[in-house]
Amino acid sequence: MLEVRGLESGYKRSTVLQGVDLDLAAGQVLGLLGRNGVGKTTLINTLMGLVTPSAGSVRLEGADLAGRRPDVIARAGVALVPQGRRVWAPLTVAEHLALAARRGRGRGPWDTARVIELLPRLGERDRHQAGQLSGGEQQMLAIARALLTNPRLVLMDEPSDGLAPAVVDSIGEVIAGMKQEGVTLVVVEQDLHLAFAVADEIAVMDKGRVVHRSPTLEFRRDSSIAHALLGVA
Amino acid sequence: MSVVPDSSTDASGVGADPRTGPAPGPSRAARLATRGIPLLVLLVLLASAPLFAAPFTANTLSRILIFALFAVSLDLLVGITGLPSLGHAAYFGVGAYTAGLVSIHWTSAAPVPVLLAAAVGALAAVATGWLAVRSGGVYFLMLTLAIGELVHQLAQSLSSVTGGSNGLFGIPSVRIGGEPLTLAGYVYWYVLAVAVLGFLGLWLVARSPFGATLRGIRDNEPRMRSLGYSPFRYKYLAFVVAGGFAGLAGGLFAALVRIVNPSDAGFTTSALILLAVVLGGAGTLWGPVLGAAVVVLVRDTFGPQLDGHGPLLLGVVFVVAVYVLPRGFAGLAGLVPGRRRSTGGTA
Repeated sequence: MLEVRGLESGYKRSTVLQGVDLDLAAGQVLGLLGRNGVGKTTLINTLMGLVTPSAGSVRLEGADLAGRRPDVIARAGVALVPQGRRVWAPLTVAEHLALAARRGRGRGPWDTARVIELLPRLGERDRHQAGQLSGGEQQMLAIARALLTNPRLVLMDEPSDGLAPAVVDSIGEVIAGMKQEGVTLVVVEQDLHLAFAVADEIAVMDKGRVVHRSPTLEFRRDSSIAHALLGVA
Repeated sequence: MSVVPDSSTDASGVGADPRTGPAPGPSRAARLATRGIPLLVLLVLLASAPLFAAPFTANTLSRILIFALFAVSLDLLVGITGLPSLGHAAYFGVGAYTAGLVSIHWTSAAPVPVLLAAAVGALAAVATGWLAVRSGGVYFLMLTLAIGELVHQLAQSLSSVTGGSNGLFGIPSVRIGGEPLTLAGYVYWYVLAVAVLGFLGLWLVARSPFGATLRGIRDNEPRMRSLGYSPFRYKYLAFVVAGGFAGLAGGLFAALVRIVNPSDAGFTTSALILLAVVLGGAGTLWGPVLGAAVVVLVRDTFGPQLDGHGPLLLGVVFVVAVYVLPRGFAGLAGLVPGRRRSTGGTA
């Protein structure tokens, strides 16, 4: 469903992505790994349209999205769960859900009731301002916001960032729940434990390219790749 | 009139529709008590003011209400949408001239002049906002400043219509049921009724899903885009709504003072009203009401007693307020226990 070819992108004079090729099948969960600064977040932001690519193509079910505005890309079915959650601190949980649902209503299976079924904590906190939520709750709110647009592809940038291990586990369960519902996902992660738990396949980036890809089980078995590309044993 | 902040029929607040639930808080009855009753008391006090106050006081209160409505309309732009405008008086002025001309040449029967003032104010915003809203930051400031000066210049040069620099005078009194309102107290009641309806309208806009969208755009525009929103449309609509309510305030102003000068559409008026918003606390809606009261009192009431040093006093008040109350008068409410308001950090 997603087909990225020769994608180049970056900021002002520095090119970060140096020709990314990436394919993703519908319903697949891809764990995107790599050291700091290899371009994972730039790739996610370029796919979302927040960073404009200088070359290459991005196709989502045949439609070319490279260089489009983020709102156009969002309406084409891509949703982002950004690094650091980026919820609106003064808005309530209910307002967040309403804002997202208004854009996604009737375009797919996700509505407020179903999202709250997946993330019951949000139902209990719906009258609270997002700024009053814990980090884990904010992460769940960011996930809910993405799901309510009824996306075909969800991009998650370091969902475990800054969360306690127990909370990371519950985020892992939520991602597993999304996978069961058939959501296609790209999950950027530093936390290998979480990436291994949720991903069907692992892709590794280095110096602005995707340099390795294999099924998760295979990747875990062959620790030499992780050692060489991620610097972990 | 109901100014109770919840239209839900759910008495307990439990099980309310999660998509429309208001801010966290106790049950509806308790919210009614904590917010509705003080508002009602205030409204009764305001409505009874002419019964014991001198005409001059009623006149000052009318001015405060008009500038408060004007300030709250600007707060929709500055505080809710994040678009600080330096030309908002353009729409106030357009509204004032419209109401004046309608009253002179056609009818001064309430509420025709103020409604037309609001409509023409909104139309002026439709015409000018298209360009202004496409820019942001300092460019938005400069474009709105230019729009304000343009309207100011037009008011001065189209003297056959506007009376030029002499102003548009000879505006007849507002009529209700054929009777002209000449006593300051009656005019005040008229201003109060229209202004309260205006406040209610702006408050409903700000707390609607549209208002939440505007706050989302203000705090993180790329994030709203990522949800599929096209921010331009929403900002443009906010600009038009703000222009309409500024026009309404302008229409009331024409009814009150019965003379309109080009300076009412000019930079000084725009700057004063922006000052009122910042002084009161942008984004709170009620803060700018207090800000407008201070600006009007300092400029019109104490100013003349200071040998024309009103603006100086206003400047001093502003500088002190910036240091002492960085979030305006509304920031004081944060010091009151029980009123929680989180600040940025995760947006």
